[in-house]
Amino acid sequence: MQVVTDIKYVFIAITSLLLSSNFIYGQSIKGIVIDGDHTPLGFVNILLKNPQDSTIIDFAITNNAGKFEFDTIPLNGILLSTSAIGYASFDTMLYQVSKQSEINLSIQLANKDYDLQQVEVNAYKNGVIINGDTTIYDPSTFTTGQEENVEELLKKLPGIVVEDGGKISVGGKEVENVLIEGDDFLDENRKAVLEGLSAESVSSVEIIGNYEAYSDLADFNTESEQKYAINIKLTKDAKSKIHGNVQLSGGHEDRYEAIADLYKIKEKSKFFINANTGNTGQNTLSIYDYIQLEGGLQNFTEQRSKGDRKIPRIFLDKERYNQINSNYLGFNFSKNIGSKLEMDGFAFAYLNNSKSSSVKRETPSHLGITNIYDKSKNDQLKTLAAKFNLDFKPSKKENWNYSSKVLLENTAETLQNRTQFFGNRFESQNHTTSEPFQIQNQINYRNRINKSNHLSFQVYSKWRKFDRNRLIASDTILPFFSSDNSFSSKSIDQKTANQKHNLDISAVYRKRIKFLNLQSKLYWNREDLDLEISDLPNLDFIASFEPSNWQRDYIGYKQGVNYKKGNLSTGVGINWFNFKVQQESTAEVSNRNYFVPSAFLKIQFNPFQQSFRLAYNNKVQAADLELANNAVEIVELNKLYQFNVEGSQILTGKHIELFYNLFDAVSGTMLFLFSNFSKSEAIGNQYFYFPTYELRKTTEIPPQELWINGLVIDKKFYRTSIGARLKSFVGYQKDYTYVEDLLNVYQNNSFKLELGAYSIWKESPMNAEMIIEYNQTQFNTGESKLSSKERIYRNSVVYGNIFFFLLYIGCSRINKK
Amino acid sequence: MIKLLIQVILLTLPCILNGQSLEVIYKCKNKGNIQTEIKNTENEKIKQALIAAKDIISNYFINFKLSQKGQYSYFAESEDGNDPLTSSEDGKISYTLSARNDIIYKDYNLSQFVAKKHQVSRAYHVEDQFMNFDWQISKEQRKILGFDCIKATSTYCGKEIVAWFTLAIPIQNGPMELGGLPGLILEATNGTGLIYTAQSVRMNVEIENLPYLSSHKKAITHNEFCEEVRKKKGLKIDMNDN
Repeated sequence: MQVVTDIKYVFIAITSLLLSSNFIYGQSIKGIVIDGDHTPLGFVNILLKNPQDSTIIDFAITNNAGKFEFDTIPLNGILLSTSAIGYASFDTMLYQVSKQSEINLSIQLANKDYDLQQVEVNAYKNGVIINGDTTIYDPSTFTTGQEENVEELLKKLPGIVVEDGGKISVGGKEVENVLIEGDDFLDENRKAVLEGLSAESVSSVEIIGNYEAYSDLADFNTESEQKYAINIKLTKDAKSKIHGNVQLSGGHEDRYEAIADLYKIKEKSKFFINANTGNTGQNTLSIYDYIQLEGGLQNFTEQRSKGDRKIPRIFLDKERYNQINSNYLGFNFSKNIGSKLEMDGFAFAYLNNSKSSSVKRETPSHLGITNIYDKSKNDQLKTLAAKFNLDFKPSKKENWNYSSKVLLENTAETLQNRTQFFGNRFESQNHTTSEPFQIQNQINYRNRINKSNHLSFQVYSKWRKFDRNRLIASDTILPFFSSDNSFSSKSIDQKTANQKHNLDISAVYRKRIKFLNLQSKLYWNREDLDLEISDLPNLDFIASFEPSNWQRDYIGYKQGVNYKKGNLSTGVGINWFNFKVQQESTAEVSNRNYFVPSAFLKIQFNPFQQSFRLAYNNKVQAADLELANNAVEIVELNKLYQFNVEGSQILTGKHIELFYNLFDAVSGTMLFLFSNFSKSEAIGNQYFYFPTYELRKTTEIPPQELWINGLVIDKKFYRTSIGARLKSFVGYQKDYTYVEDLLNVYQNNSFKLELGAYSIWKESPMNAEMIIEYNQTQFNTGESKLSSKERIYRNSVVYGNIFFFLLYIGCSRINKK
Repeated sequence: MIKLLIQVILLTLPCILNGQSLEVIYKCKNKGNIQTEIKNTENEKIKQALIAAKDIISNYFINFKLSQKGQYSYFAESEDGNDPLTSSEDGKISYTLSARNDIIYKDYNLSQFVAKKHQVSRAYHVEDQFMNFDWQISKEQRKILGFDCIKATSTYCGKEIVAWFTLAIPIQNGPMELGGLPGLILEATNGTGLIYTAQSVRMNVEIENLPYLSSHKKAITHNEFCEEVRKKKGLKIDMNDN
């Protein structure tokens, strides 16, 4: 009654599947699954599937005897499928012929090197596309759907490590840029974005190797390491949404705050609006907002490194105000025009009116006279700033960039002081208004001609104008001492107009020949200054600020070559520059040439793969043979250990610093901290005075120090530190004056040893410290025709202390009810 | 470099499965809404403790490892990456999951399991035949770790549980005592608010000696254990009475 009985091999079953379908007559199916040796197979999955969509209708698992059973099956045709580890799967169609009886199946499965891992690997392969330097992940392949934000999503991707602080690394190397849709849009707020953007917003994640953000080329002796960037691409839904936060809060005594941070990211355009208004005693615009508007920390620091050091004054003012009324509106944007042109920029307006700590104290004295101290400050600040940036990429190799920036500030500051002391009165008022205005323009061009030849040049211009009016008025009346003592008021009304123009042109050519990296840089910088001070008061000290107009030219050429292969990198370079200053008022010209050779050597090895790296870096620089500087640096900057050695040499002087640090960055707790600082310096000077034949020679060794800042173990429930600090002062100074044959010697030997142990168990601290101190000082002065060493020690002073020993064991509880 | 890294990942992972061994790491965390938990707690002291520790409870998880070698499997807390006990900043409240020390040993030859289960500081030894979960398979599908997974529902100690299994790995195993589906369970709830989600699946791993859990003379059956569960709550709170 059955069509399929005792199928010998799988291929027979498959053949039968192909040639004819299996007709079943009953409502229930029983069966047995055996292997090639006719041994019953347990734990084989038998699935009944809907042939239309392969969804599972029912399933059974064979018992240890290899048997399975379905009580009821649907009347229509059904797909029977088996699966078991180590055996080929088997599929067949079953059709109902009659509603009678039951059927028995016997299925024999063929052995197969069933490579389960391949299933997993296929999944990975499907989820990862490697395209040159770029690796693209399909997040859905690696995630479970439980990830809440982008940070959690990134943690699931193979090869990417996200630490708690938002630091991301790929293959042990830190990712410097996190881009959204190709734009380093929210650099400084990386952590906030990683946590703020939902995981569902992400369509793909790209790791870009050899990422080079737009910047001028690094100096030849700067190590050029591969940089990674992560580019997060968003889904269509996410692009259509506006992300961000809106916050409103009210309050007591005019205390209010309204904040809106909104951003929208589309493929071809992005914008970010940040509006903030309030009267909360805090500035509504912070330096972080400004950096964000500048396009992120990297852009900001690049601009700063190019000489644009002007930061709007509002961020530098740390004065605490009693009352602030400030309003701020800013936005930035970026838009792609076609595939070759991209523009971005920002603008913001900031209005601030603040009254500072107006201090007024009235204290009645015992003579019945009231003393008054009153100080107040009013500030008004209006700022407008805008920046525009245009990127043009005519080809993959070429990149043109133009940026322009305008900043206008209008400040008014009034400072008032009034003091009344025993009837004497002092009053002063200082009123300053200033209107700085600056415009910057910059053109960059970069051409990656081919893999081994790069060319770039930059033109940078900045014009600054700074007008300032200053009024100082004061009154002093001293009736208490004498009724005639009444000083008439003095006033200074000063007006300063200042113009400064900078022009900076540089060109860099870089050529790579196998492991050699050649770099040539030609640069020219001109600075013009026009300074005017009008309405000078009759005060002498102002004369020192004599108006002067001058022009400074700075032309230089750098040529360097570095070599990097494996763990070794080394380089030498020459920097020549000419420095010329022309003073307009005196027609004085000073012209000087500098010639600075330099070299570095770096060896690094990685004994524990990605977890540890040891590097040796040696730099030598010399200019006009007047200065020699030698630095040795051993740095390990990975998760677990840090070790630095720095040394420099100035002629005969030596300077060595050691620093060693060990901590467990994985758990975030400090396990061990050890720092060692040693400094040694000797300076030799020789003076020759002719014709008196005076010869003076001085040798000096300043104090040496060695610090060992002990062991810190920080666990959840206790914290222990054991430390030692050794300060050793070995000062030595010799002063010969040969004319009079005098020898002055000063020597001081002392050391101080501090040993400490500290432990805290929950709220109960235990503390023990011991300090041992020893001092020895030798001093010999002015001995004529010194002949023996005894004289040196004759006047020496030696004293030693074994100083105090402190032990404290205590117990306290915090928040005891 | 990254290309090489990915290639290394791709090349080192796959191995031919000979011993039918696998290791699955499951992340176990509280699925329930802690706010609801707080609301439903009558004991004022526990309620205050929950409020104080709600952040650490929400973020807390334990990794479990399911190791299968041939016809035997062992499910227990993973030795890697676990913070066994977490505490509030003032150290007054420490928190862990009762299930932390759970161990389940399955013998597919005998279709039996031996388990050491924990409920509110008390350990239970459970021994029984594999449970008949009577899984209801739905049409709902989603991807976990790149595997197509199918949703199945059943009950455990009278509470509804949801499991997501993959046909790509035809092993009838999963976290805790769960199993009996025609594929490995990559995510499951346990009915008392915990969710186990697979974090990694490693095939053909070298498992030299699979740990073993021996029978216990005071062992109870699964149904008896469920009775105990109904009486107690699966949350442990240690408090310092200050």
